[in-house]
Amino acid sequence: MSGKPLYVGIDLGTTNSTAAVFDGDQVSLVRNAQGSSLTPSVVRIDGKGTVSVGGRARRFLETDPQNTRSEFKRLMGTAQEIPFAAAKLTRKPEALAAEVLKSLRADVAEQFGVAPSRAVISVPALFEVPQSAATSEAARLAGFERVELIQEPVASALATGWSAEEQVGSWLVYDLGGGTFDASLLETRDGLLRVVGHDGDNFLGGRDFDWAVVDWALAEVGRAHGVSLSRAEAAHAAGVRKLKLAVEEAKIELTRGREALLSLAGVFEVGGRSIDVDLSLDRVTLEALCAPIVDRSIEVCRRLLTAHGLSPAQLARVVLVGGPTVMPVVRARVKEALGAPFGEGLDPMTLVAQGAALYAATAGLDARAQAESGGAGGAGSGAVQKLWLQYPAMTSDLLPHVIGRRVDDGAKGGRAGGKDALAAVKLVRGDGQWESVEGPLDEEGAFVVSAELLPRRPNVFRLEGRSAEGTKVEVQPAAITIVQGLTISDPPLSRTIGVALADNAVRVYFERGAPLPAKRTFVHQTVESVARGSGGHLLKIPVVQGEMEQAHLCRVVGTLEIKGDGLKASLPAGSSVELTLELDRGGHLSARALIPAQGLVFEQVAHLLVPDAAVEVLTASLGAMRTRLAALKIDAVKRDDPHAVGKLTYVECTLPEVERDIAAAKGGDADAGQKARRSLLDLDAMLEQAEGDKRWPELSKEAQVAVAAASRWVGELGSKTEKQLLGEAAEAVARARAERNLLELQRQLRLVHSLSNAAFYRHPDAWTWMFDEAASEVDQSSDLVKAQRLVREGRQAQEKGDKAALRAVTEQLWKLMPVDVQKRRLGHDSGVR
Amino acid sequence: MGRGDEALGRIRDNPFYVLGLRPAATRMEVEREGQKLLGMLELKLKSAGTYATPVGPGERTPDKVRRAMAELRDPEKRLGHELWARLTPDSGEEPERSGTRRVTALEAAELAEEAELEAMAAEAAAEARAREGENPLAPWPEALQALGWAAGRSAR
Amino acid sequence: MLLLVVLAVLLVVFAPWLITRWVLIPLGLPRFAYYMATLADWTFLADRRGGAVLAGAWALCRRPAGDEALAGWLERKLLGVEKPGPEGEALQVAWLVARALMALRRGDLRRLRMLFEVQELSTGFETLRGAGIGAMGLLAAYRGDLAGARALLESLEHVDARACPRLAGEVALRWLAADAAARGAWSEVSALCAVGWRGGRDVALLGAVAARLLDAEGAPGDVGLWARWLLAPRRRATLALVQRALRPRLERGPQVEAPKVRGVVREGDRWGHAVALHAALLLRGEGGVNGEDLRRLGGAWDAVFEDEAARAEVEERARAIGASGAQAAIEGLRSSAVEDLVALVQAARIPHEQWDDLGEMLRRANRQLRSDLLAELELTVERLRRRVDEARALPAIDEWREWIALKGRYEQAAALVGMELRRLSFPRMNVEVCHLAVWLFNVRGQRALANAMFRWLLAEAEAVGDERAAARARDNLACGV
Ligand SMILES: Nc1ncnc2c1ncn2[C@@H]1O[C@H](COP(=O)(O)OP(=O)(O)O)[C@@H](O)[C@H]1O
Ligand SMILES: [Mg+2]
Repeated sequence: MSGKPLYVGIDLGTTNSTAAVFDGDQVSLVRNAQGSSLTPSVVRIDGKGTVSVGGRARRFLETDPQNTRSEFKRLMGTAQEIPFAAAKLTRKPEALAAEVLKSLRADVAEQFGVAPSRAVISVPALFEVPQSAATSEAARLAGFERVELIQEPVASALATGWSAEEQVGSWLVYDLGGGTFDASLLETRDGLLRVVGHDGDNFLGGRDFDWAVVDWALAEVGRAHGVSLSRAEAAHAAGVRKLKLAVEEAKIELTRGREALLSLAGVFEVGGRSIDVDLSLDRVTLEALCAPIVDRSIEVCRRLLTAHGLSPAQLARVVLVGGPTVMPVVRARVKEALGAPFGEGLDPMTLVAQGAALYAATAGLDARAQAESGGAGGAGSGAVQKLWLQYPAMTSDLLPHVIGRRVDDGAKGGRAGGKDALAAVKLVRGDGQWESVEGPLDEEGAFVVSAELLPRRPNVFRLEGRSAEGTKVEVQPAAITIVQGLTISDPPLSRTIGVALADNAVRVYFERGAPLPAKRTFVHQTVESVARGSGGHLLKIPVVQGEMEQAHLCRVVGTLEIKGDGLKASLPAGSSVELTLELDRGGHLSARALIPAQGLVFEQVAHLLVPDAAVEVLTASLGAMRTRLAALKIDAVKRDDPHAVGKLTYVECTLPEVERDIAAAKGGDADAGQKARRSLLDLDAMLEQAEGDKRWPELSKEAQVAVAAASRWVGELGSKTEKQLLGEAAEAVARARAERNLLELQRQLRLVHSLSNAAFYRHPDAWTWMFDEAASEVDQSSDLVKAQRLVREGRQAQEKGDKAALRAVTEQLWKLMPVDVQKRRLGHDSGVR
Repeated sequence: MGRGDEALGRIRDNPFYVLGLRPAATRMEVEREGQKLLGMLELKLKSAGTYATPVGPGERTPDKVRRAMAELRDPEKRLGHELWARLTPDSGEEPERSGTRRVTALEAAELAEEAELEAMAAEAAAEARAREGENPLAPWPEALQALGWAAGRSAR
Repeated sequence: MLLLVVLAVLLVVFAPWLITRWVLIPLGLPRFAYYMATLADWTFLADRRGGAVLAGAWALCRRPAGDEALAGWLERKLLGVEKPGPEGEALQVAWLVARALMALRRGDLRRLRMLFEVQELSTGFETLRGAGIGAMGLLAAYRGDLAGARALLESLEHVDARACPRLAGEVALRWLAADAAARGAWSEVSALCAVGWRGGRDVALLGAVAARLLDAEGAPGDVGLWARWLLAPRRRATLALVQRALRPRLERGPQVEAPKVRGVVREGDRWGHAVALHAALLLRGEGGVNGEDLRRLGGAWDAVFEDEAARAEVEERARAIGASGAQAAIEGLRSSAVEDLVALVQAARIPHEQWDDLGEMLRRANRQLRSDLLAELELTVERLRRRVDEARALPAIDEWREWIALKGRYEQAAALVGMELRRLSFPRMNVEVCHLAVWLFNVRGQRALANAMFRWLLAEAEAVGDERAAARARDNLACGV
């Protein structure tokens, strides 16, 4: 092999991006034209359409925000187009990410002489399918032929593991970035790295520190000038942006220094008066402002540890990653809470990129692969036997297998049978200290030999072939390199993917942590008929992502639709549908549904996007949530259930924050809108639970009452079998109550009601009572005039003793009463089970 | 039959069978074997294409191998798979009767006399299969054509 | 020559069905059969439109499969408004003349006038009645969907005689008998053909053959069999079958051997034994499992789950590989095993009495099966409710298909779990199906379909002892078809 391999890893960050290269021996950072290993993820397109990226673009962030964009990573996978005013064009988030990747790719080419065609790109642990797919797309746009994605915490851990000597035990990767926080629990054993679990907050990061300081600054300035300044006000948007940039600089300054100045002249205008910002921020104030945010991150870590039955004391090591983790306040608080030692000598800003490069080696993604596979055969092709080899480029195994197969290119005469044909192969290690036993070629022309590696370094092996008669046969490739070190074999899936079912359950296709690529097929049954040819009829199969058991709490990442006009014949409810979901290594999801009865395949996946967060929708759902919350709270107080009250109070306390985010979204911050959407979904889950908690005692009580009433009526007017049936049902009700089985209780309750009713209506006065009751609620009816007429008629019938007429009137009255509001549509309206 | 297939699949696609390993295999063996099989599949070697299980051979795909490796990396999941992989697949055609410590699964699971009955039944079945045409209760596949409910062979 | 023409015209006018049945259908001429059968008022009094399409579909069955154009044409005649294509125009005129003659024959002037005023056959509600359902069944079979055809033709049994021409029932019976024979379901054949001579001569023959093959009581002797053969049509095609039935009956031969478990277990490995038995039953699949097998398997599992040593062994393994404990793995195993048991019971349709047992494993399986089935029914009924609430109408035939599928599922679940399930799910089923049927009856004019639903509701209400529901169903039934 010519030269060293080139494995490229890229950390495509929200704030900064970094590239690193691994050559099998050393990891080195790629420097950009400014000589820095950090390239700000900022893109500027000026009026002439010229694109600039990184530090040169970042300078304009403050002065020319309409044409300079940052934080587009947070919009990956949404349909949002980002406008550039001067050039009068818009770009998708992935197109901007592609600009950053292009620039990094050029830096690699500059430094190593090869424009990489393959690379590994890191993504946040909680990225969902559309976001991952957008990242792959960005890489494609940037000119990469093949990329794999790896989760940032896994990359950090790989990098840490590479530099540490011997590592056994559990580690926590604490990654606090510009806008996201990820906590990941990993475990190493036998040199193998395993992701045990993730947790995180997609909306917690360095910028929250900045906003906290901005809010503080606005309050300070407002107090000094006797005005009120708010982030939500559109008129102040430009000033706030400038202030935020200044604040960020001050914050970074305070990592070293003790005090920083914030001074901006005339950034705000209130009532025609220009207002200056002139403040001094000291470290104590900054720490006080940041502490609650850091504590939120620590809370997430605790939650993660508890979920896996660990206590902080059991952690072997904590790895800090991300810009904000250099802040003393973060280090101190994390140390205090988790106790475990920090990894030493690691650069939190570039660790992810280093890990990604190491992973590129594990995955065998040599960036120069293109050049290697083609040529080299020219020399003495007459005598050289080409081999097709399979071996791990990097492995934790000390004794990995090397597998090979003879490539018969036809031109060569001495194929399988010939005298000088290749008959066996052995490996000789570069240091000459070891050689393998010979691997004979089997009838398929294949061989397997086991290699012995020296730990923690690249091992070069020479391949030696011989013929059946013992003469030497030249083989190609003649040597291979295998690196021994910590490995992880497949990029694991970050979030569970499944299909929402009609009963609002989720059929899991791929569990979180499943290796990619993956493909799975399950058979579902339809629950609704789809008539052929009718455009209006369709069957939806929603694909969701998330770990919740209830489908409506997971996020829909795509919907497969089976439409009537594509069918050969009508599809009756209960038909089988064979659904296959497939995920490639880049996180791209495809789905296909087969209807075996008709031999039809549907592959149209609708909207594979993160849903939009329209401000009106958000405001409306916030309003609805308030109403729901109030009702639940009143009820919980009435029931005197402190547990429920606590939960609801928590929800109540979170709402103002959501409101603030919605306000920010109104001001044009699409990211805040996404955050609000996410929070509302989480809160919805909580309310759901609270409702469930409340529902049970109600139903349980109702059952008790119903059984009592039924016993009375059936006892008085029921037949013998009815009495016996009621006895059985009452027992079943008692059992269901004891087991807290809601569904079963509802079923039995229906039976009890029907028995009770049957007996009740046998009573001679039954219809009189029912009529009286209906008449008493007449004010609620939908058509008051008609209802009152009916009541009059009923009264007459009552006087005449005409039971049949009374019954008819009562039944008509019922029809005028309001029906229960339709149950909320659950399960994303899935048409399969 | 969908659910029945799924149930059989649980045994057939057990990671240990997919990787051709026994439950006692070490982590490293799992990785090594998986790596090797992936390589062999990549080289399209026929010998790696199938694997033996107690419920009949399975088709080995890279996808299955990767999934199997991932499943066995997680100790909690691995423990469950170990339980389902208690049966050692019997690759030979003839059940091994001579082995002292080993008995065939069915014999172990059922009483000895039942096993004998089973053997007799199997023999009879084989015989019956030999003269399949004579089974009086065999279907009459051309019934719909013969009785004029479908076009085709009735026209003979 | 003139005489011949006159004779032909007379035949057309007075015996259209005879021509259809003995000339047009055997010749495989669906369009002619359709138009001719529209004249056969008598035969299809209960469902004229459906009867005509049935005749067409029957004729279509005699043609090589795959003529979707013809099949679609017939289907549109039944379900959709059809504009005559150029190729149909001549027929259409001929048909109109024939109808006019027919009306004249009966002296029905009102009808004659109507003929020229409105296209009676293609306007208004496309009401679906018995013969129409039968026609759709034959069309499904023609298109290769035998299961769908079976379901539709079987469902004719539930359609009121006033809405289902006798002939449609006969066609269904004959098709079903032939289909059962093709599948080798001889006991089904025998049950279907128990009606004696009513179904026709080929049905009589099949019934006799089935009885002989099954060695049933009252099976006809050799002479009886030959007699039936002689009387039946298509003697050449059925000869081999009759010969098969005439051969002396072998002792009950075992079915095809089930695949066996190919694996070995360590002696004394309890987990292994249970898994082996489990695998053996799964391999035997649908046909080969009975209640006794299930009991045995349940017992084997219970024995392991209760065995301390077996649990300790797993604990030991858990420690060795670094898992948190045995509990989760064992519970996982148990619930998968329960799931498999439930699937087996459902696939093999083993009624619950046959495997009911006190063992923990079977108890769990039973509970799971019960709640699965109940939940499934509830879900389906809920979707039905929603559809009816939102007035999302399906084409009549699809309404019917959906209903027979729902009914089938209910009955299958009831057979597995028993009376308790019927009592628990009937109240909701009753309400929602009743709404559907009322909608079909009042608004959509599908009286025959609604009537069949009311009839089923009545029978079921009586069976579960729900008097109010029964009374309501009776009222509704009284509204006719
Ligand atoms: N020296 C520093 N002290 C404090 N904060 C810093 C420092 N350097 C960077 N940051 C903050 O770190 C964040 C960016 O971190 P980074 O890890 O690059 O984010 P991402 O992974 O989202 O790209 C920004 O909020 C920035 O303000
Ligand atoms: Mg980062």
